[in-house]
Amino acid sequence: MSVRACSLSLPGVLLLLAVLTGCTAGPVRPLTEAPQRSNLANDETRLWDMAEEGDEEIAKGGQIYRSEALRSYLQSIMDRLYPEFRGRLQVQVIDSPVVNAFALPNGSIYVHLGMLSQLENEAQLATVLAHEGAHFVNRHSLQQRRSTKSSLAAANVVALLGVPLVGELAAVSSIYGYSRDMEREADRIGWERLTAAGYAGREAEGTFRHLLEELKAMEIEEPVFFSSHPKLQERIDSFHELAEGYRGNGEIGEARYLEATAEARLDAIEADLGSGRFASVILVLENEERLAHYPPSALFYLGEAYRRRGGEGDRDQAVKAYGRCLEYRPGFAPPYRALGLMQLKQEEYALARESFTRYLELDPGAADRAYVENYLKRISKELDEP
Amino acid sequence: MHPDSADSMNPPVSAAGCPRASHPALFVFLLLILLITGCASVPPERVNVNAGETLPGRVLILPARITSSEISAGGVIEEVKAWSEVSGANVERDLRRYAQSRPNLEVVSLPDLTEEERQVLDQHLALYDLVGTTAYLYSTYAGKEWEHKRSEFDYSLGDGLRFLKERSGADAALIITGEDYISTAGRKGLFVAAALFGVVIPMGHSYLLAGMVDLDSGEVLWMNLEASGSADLRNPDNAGELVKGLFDEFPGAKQEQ
Amino acid sequence: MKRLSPLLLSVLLGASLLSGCVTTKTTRLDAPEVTVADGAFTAWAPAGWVATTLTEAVSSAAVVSRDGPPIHYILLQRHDHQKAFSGLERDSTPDMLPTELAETLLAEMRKDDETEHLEVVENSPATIAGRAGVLLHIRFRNDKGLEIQRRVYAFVDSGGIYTLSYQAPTLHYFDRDFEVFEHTVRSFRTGA
Repeated sequence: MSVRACSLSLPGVLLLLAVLTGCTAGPVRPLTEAPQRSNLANDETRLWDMAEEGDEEIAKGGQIYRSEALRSYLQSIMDRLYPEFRGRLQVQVIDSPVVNAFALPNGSIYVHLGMLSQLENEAQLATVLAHEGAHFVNRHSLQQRRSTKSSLAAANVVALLGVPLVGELAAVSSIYGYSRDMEREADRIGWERLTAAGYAGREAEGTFRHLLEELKAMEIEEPVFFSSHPKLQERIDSFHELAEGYRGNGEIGEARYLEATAEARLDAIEADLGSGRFASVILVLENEERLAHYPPSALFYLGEAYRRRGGEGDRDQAVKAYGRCLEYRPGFAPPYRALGLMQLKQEEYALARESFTRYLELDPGAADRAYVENYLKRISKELDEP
Repeated sequence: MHPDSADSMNPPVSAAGCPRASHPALFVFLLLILLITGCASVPPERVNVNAGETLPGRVLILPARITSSEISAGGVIEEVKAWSEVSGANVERDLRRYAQSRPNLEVVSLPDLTEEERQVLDQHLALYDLVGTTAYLYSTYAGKEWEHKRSEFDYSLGDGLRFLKERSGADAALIITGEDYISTAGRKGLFVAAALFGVVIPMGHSYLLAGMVDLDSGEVLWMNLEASGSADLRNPDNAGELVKGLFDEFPGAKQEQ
Repeated sequence: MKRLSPLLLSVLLGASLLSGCVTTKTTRLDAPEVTVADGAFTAWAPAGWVATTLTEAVSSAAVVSRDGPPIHYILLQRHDHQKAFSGLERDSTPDMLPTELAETLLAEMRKDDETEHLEVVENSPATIAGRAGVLLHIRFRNDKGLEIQRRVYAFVDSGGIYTLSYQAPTLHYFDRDFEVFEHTVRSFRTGA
């Protein structure tokens, strides 16, 4: 696309921009109650249409974690935070080990399973839900859409007219995430809702601290588009300030959270392993306080995370974790298979044979029996044949 | 809409917060190439190598699935559901009108389906979306190594739609999909302004893709594409023109004239 | 290893969109055999199907299809051990046990958006080209809810990691060419 310089004056440029970008209607006001679809402006209706397609796609793609009890539990927290939006703010759990949560413009809120294994209590979960609810109530999608469309249109015109492209850069950067202001607003309003609903405000800081630890453990650099979000440390600091001024006690809800999410948290750990997110598993289960919130079989998962990661020193850590697991549950088969694999790789054939044999004794119907029988044949060749 | 375009606690790994609507599929992108480069010298209709001399006489017209989207001045593309409904209704009405005017064609309506039958139909429509667009693309654009798929056009959805034949009495189903991209006033204004600078900005376009599927065997008996760089399917006349264009090459059309 | 998505395959077909460091060739097979330019492997494939082969420094691949890869395909790949699992940023190794190979391949598939929510139908040891390997069979849905199946044989040796995959929708297509794929697997030979 070739661009020639233009001799329009600045007022002319501004007029052209205004006409072409269809300068927008007035400010977007927060919702005070669940809106009727028929009362929405055209562009908000389209956002809701897209959101409904998103809901359908998520459901059709088999992405929802199937536990009505868990969904109900999360929904009850959301209804407590935003009672006037009961029925509109609908929470679902996505069957994915990623640590994330998001809100669609129509009030559908999704929390990934991975988020649940990182949090410690109901107040922290409520922090997440309150934040996402705030995006919906403050209609951030609509605000963003209006400003993006205008920005892009402006960028097009700017490019066309050969005017220096600082404006275009600003327009482009705003595509990649909500503005810092909107995220701060969601944090602030979320915190207000959290404390108004009777939760312990100081737990909000803990939520973000866990997210930051997780990012660090997974060695994910805060990506460039994070630049439009207040970085996690800033958010931890700002919640810390809010909590300092907070005199209330508030509910933490640890026992209730741990009970309601027991199965889901273990499934999340298993999903982390299945997706190669070993650092995430180690982060949670190496913490003795958090480990206590899981059954003894979780030690096997800790061992698996070390074994499969296979970094320096990981072998010893894996053996230690399997050993601890077997102290609690001597009849639990999987650690024996894992030990057998490690011993086989080290050519410790006799030990490997012992481990695999014990594994099959404890679990004769094991799904991977065929693999183990092949290993035993291989070991026989090494040990028994001249 | 992918979750990436929603409000998120942690910014997801692609564009977040941007109300992204459906982007043009690969198919449309390549269709544009077809139109622009004139590869449309390849005849657009496809006839199954196993099809008889004429096509089935009793045809079930499935609801037309048309996506009508707006392109803004900035190039943001968003489906407008209300427009899609109008465009779909226009196309379906013209389809029926056309079919009813043909001496060899009897139109049958979709019967009420059970939930299970609905799911089976939906799975087959999802399969058609994949098979139909691939069939069309590969027999048209994919290079000389795939040219044989034009004369040996033998795509199928399998025999899972036999229940529809039993329930409706139809021999075949007519499936119409399409997309319609409509420029906003802002984009039109930009187009005019750009023209002053000798720059061409892509505007709207539409296409309809028709496929006839044998309900017994599942064979895709016939396909055709009609496209326009200026039609707006919300306009009944435009819809009618595209539908007529689709069926100008319908097998048996020449014999009837 | 980076899977060749059908989208990429479609773009590759008939168009010279690649840089000079990747060699591609598309042919309609007149003899029932597919080979890659660097000789990494050969296998039986039906005459009349279309094969696209790609060779670059660290990998080679052949995609074979009757009706077009977006619908169904057989994909044969060899990749150097280094960065074999690009989604996980991990290498494969020549001494990987089959269990480890299966675990890592499944994790790699779960990293891919297309197969993130896969369901494992089968996971068992297998022998391919005389080497001990694995068979994985998964099921997943596309964004329109269409059920798709993928069957993957894989093994490692000093030459790298080899995967032999077959993907097609469950409706009509998967069963139709299942035996073709199994024949391809039985015939698979490495160049080494």
